[in-house]
This record gives sequence, structure tokens and C-alpha cells, in this order.
Amino acid sequence: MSMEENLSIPLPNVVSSFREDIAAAPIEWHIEPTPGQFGSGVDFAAGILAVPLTGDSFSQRIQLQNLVELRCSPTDPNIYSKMAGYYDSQGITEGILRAAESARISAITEKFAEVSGLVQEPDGSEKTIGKRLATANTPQSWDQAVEYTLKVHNTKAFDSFASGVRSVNPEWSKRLRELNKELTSTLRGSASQLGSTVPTNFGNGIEGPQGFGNTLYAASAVRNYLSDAYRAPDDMKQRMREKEEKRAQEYGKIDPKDLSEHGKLSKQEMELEDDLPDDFEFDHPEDGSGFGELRVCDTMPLLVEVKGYMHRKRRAMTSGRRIAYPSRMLTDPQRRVFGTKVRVKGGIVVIDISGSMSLTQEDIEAIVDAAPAAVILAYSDCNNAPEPNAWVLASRGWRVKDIGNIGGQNNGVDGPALTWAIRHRHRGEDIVWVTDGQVTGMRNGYNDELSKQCAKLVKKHKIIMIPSVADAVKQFKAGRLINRPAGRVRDALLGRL
Amino acid sequence: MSEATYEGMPIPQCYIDLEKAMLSGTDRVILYGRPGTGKTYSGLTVGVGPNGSERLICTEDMTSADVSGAFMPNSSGGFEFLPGAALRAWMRGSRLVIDEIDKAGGDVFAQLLAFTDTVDSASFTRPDTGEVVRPQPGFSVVMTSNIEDPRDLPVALKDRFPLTIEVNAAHPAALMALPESLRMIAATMVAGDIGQRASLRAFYEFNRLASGGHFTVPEAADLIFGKEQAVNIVRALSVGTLTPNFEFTVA
Repeated sequence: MSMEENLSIPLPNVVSSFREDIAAAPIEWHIEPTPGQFGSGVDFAAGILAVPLTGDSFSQRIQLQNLVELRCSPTDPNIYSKMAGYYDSQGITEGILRAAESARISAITEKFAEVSGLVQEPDGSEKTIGKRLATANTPQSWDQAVEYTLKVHNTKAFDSFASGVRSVNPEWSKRLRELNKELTSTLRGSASQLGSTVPTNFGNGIEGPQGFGNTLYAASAVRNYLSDAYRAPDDMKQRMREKEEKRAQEYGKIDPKDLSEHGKLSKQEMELEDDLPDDFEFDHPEDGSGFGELRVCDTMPLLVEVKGYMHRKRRAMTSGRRIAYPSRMLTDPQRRVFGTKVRVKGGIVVIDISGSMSLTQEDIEAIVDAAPAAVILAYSDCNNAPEPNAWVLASRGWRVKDIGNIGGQNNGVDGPALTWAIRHRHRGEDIVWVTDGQVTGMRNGYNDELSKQCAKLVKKHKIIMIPSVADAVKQFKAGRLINRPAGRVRDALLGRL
Repeated sequence: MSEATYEGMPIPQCYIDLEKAMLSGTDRVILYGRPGTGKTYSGLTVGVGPNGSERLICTEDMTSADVSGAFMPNSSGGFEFLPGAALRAWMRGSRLVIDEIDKAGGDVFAQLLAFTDTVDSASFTRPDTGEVVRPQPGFSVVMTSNIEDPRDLPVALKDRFPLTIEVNAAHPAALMALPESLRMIAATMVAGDIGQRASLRAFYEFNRLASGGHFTVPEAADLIFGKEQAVNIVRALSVGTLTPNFEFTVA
């Protein structure tokens, strides 16, 4: 029997004619033969169905799967990116949606495969794949395990895969079985329910086939199991948290090595753009949507001298500009006659004292004891212009005796307080921003743009963020300042806003 | 430009051309193309006048008696001249549909050429009465052939039938006799390429078997279309209707 006699040519135009969403503009399909699974697929834009045409059961199964895709999948390839943009806040990425759509098509295909005897049996590789991924034990391999579960859920192949995972990591296996159960339940409808192509509006002007709604449900289920989500194994969540913390400390910089740590379902991490000019200043729109104008009170009496600033220690040196110890010419074997002042710790400390934060006199004293040269600026807008909304509480060796009753509920001037610090910093001096990262404008509302701009300033000028005054005091005492961004500014630094 | 439709189904261009040609007064048309598309049905129905139509199916064994007529024994023991299909159509001024003209033998073909000649040149003397018969007003001829290339038609025939229309799709009216779920696949396969082609008659029979209660859909498809084509037809129908156990809903 010749090869030609064995060919099995599908009828894509017939299958496609049953779609409810393209009745007005039918697609003229062309068949492109493929060597087995390689290169097979459906191209709605070009009207190409690429499938193997041989009559063996493996090829027939591929034909069936592709015909189901041709019958049920969205014809608009941009729907995934549009939908991912719409559900971005829920962490649903284009990768998750595509994988979930593939799972929906598999679920529908399985119903036809059962009737026509084309059910896919495990080929023996599943268990090995499970063992390999569990042994790798990385967030990426976990995400791959989730993706594989999506692909083979509710089949014998999944059982074999899960058993391979279990032999190495029982917790992973338990979570994957939970996911399998959830997906099976989500995609348990009839073929006509899962695959309906009745045009449907998914919100925000996004049109697609009605059955695609099931893809969204499956995507939501999968999202919760990815390595950074709450249903991932505990060790994966911990590792993701540590990685994220490290990245936040480095102002959102992405280590090329870390890129390989992410599975393709995860959202692609973005670095915050550095597009602010060096002399950037905030606008103060009249509608109150931006930050307010900074009104600094620099007339508070700084009457208390900070120990360790005015009477700084000198250190004898073998070289220098000024001879401080001429007697060492005779007494010091190394003849260290020059003297240089020991650098005193300092920095500009900008403290958010809005309702969500707090500041006491003891905190000020603790900070200046640890950093005598510090300039401390506390800010909080009380919506009582022209009264001040920022107060200089310490300045290079001098501090207030009593901070009194300053500050209010609103932040209002986070950004301008930072630009004030940038303008007043000495060369090489640290800027420390003590804040919970929840910056607000004059209307006391969150505003992503303001958070992003603050984050850009933080990144550009390497401002050290510390989430609370207590932490700041600890870090100053320990003599080591660690950047620990929090709140919306942290999200902005990590490219999530 | 709006598309012409029949019961909501688009009418293929070949039928629109045929209809327009008939409305323009054409009385000589050859319909050619793959078998099972409805050429004869169209010849018998499209643009037919009040005098109806006569059908002549050509075979190698037919004689001129089928065309012009012959003396036949009658009930009174004598012989009587019975006009053939072509002569009847002349006399009544009706449509003559000649199927598979390319199958006719030399004598018959020559006589058919005479009967399909222009009205001015055409005449026949009845052997029983001696009456000279000429085509009556309203007489028209539609020839059908299963050839797929009009160049294969004899030159003399082409000369008498300058208008040739390829019928390459099923008429929606013919598809309406099928259940809704079969119409699209029938339309597609009637117009399909070699290897993916099936005739309308095959679909009528498939419908009859599958909806009769004695065969399942796959069994009926196997019998009518053969195993390999049946697999693809049943799969297209079940995936298309999203029904794994596809059954007909009879129209």
C-alpha cells in the first residue's frame, strides 16, 4: 500500500464553519503536512492547519487536538496580551493564559479522544520528568512542574508524573495533586460548554469566544501555585521571598543569573527606568493630585551639641597637608607627624512622620549618637499651609532638645523631601529615607506615578530606605545601613507598578 | 456588495451565472464539472418555462429512437410512432436536459447535434404523418457532462453551445434537504479537491442510513464514504458540533 493511500486529510473548513464568532468572515483553511508533532499547530491569521497526515494513532491524536484548537481557540492572537494586561494586578501573565488555553483544548480533546480510541497513554517519560524536576528543586523547576501538570492534568500521564515527583519531594507531589484536582474541576464541563465560540465581551473591550472564560478560571488556579504564590511549597515561597528581598536591596536590579530562575509562566521582571534628570523637581498641580510644596522649618532651636562632632579625633599619618604632631619626629618610629580628622558618621536622614509612622525625641538622640554629623528632616503635611510641613531636627553636630508636637496624618510631600535631601547632601554622603513606602499626594491618595517617581529618585541617588524609625535606630547603632524598601515604592523598584 | 443567499446560505457563483444567463434568453447551455453537484437538478429547474422539461440520459447503447422517436406496437395490435424526448421537447416548447452527452455513440450524437441546432436550421419530418416539426417557442437545451475541462468537449458541440458553465458547488436548495449539521460538510466536500470529494447523493444516502436507527453515524459513514474518508467526516462533524458522540438532528 502506498503512502498516499494511507493519508488522512482533515476537513478544517467544515470544522471552522461551525464557529459562531467568524460567521461573517469565514477563514479559508489550507493544510500543511508536518513530520509528526514537530511544527504542528493552527495559524488563524494565515488560515493554516499544520498537522501530520499519516493515519497512525499518534498523528491522529495530533490532528484531533489541532482541530479542536481550530474549532474553539480565540482567532485573535492578541487576546492573550490584552487579557494579561487587564488581569495584570492578579498576576496573570500571557504565559499562564497560553498554558491554560492549551489545557482547555486538551480537556476538550480528551472527550473526543475517549470516544475515538485516541486517549494518550503515558509513554514512560513522565515519571522521569517528575523526578528530574523535583531533584532540581528550584523555583524554575517548580514552575515547570506546574506547567507540566497543566499539560497532562486529569490523565494517567499526570499520575505517573506525580509519582515521580513524590519519590523525591512528597510536598511537591501533594501540591501538584491539589492543582490537578482544581484544574480537573475547573475544566470538567461538556465539550460544548468548554469550547463555545459565541462572541463574548470579557471587559475592557476585549472580545473572545465564550469558552475562553474557562481558560481564565484555569489561569487563576495555576497562578496561585506558581513559585511566588501562596499555594507553592513553603521552601519555594521562602526562596522567592529571599530573592525578591535581595533584588529590592539592590534597587530592583536584575541579576542575569536570576533570569534563569524563572519559569516561563512567571511575569517577566522589569527594571525601573532611569529617566529622571539630575536636577529633577516635582510639580505641584493645583488639583492636589501631586505632592505639595515643601515648607521647611529650619528655625527650630538646635541647642544641644552632639557628642563626637565638634571635638573630632585626629589620627596621626605619615603624609598630609598639615603637621599636627611635630614631636612624633623624634618619638614615633614611623614619624607620623601629619594629622587628619577622623571622619564622623553622618548622612541626611529624611523621616516620614505621617500617621502610619512615629518619631520620638529618643529616636532623634539615638540617631545622632550613632551618626553625629547627621542632618535630620522630618516631614508630614497637615494641610495647614502656610505652616511648615517639614522640620530640620538635627544638623551636623547639633540637635533639638525637644521635637515637640510636629507632623500630622498625611504624607503629602515625600518626593519634595527627597529632592531637598539630594540638594543638601555633601559629596559621598548617604541619604537615608525612613518610610513605610506608602507615599501619598496632597489628597492623601495612593498614586502609582508618585510612587514610581520616588522610586526612580531612590534608585538614581542610591537612597537607603528603612521601613521604620526603630529599624533605622538599630541600623545606625550597628553602623551598617541596609536598603530595605517597603510599600508601593518597593513595588515600583521591582517593576510591579 | 451583498451576497445572494438562499435560506440564509450563500448561492455559489455558478448558479447565479446560470440564472442570469437564462433570464437573458439563452437557450443553449452546457453545464460541466464533477459528478454529484446538482447539474441535472439545475437543468431541470433553473429558468424552466411553463411547458416543463424532458430528460435524456445518454449511454453507449442508446439509439436514435430515444432522441427522435420510433414506431412501437400499440394496444390495438398495430404500430404507432412515439416521439422521443428531443422531439417531444420541440413539439411542446419545453426544456431538453441531455445528461452525459459525452457518453453518446456516433449516430445518436449526430442526431442530437441536429436537434440542438439553431431554430432556423432545425427541422424533423415525422415518419407517420409527414409533418415537418420545428422547435416551438420556449424550447431550450441544457446539456450536462462530468468532464472537468471544457476543452475536452467535441468542437461541433462547443460550436452549438458557446455558453459553458462549470458547476463546482452544490446548490443551497439541494443542501436544504439535509440536516443542518450536514449541510456545510456536504457543501465543502461536493466542492472539495480529489481525495476529499463526495457527491450530494452520497450525503443524502449517508443521512438516510445514519438517521434510520439501524446504523451508528460512524458505521453509516464507513459504508458510504469508505473507512479513511469516514474517519475525517465523522471527526469534522463531531468536533464541529462539539459533540463527542455525534448524532444527527433530522431537519
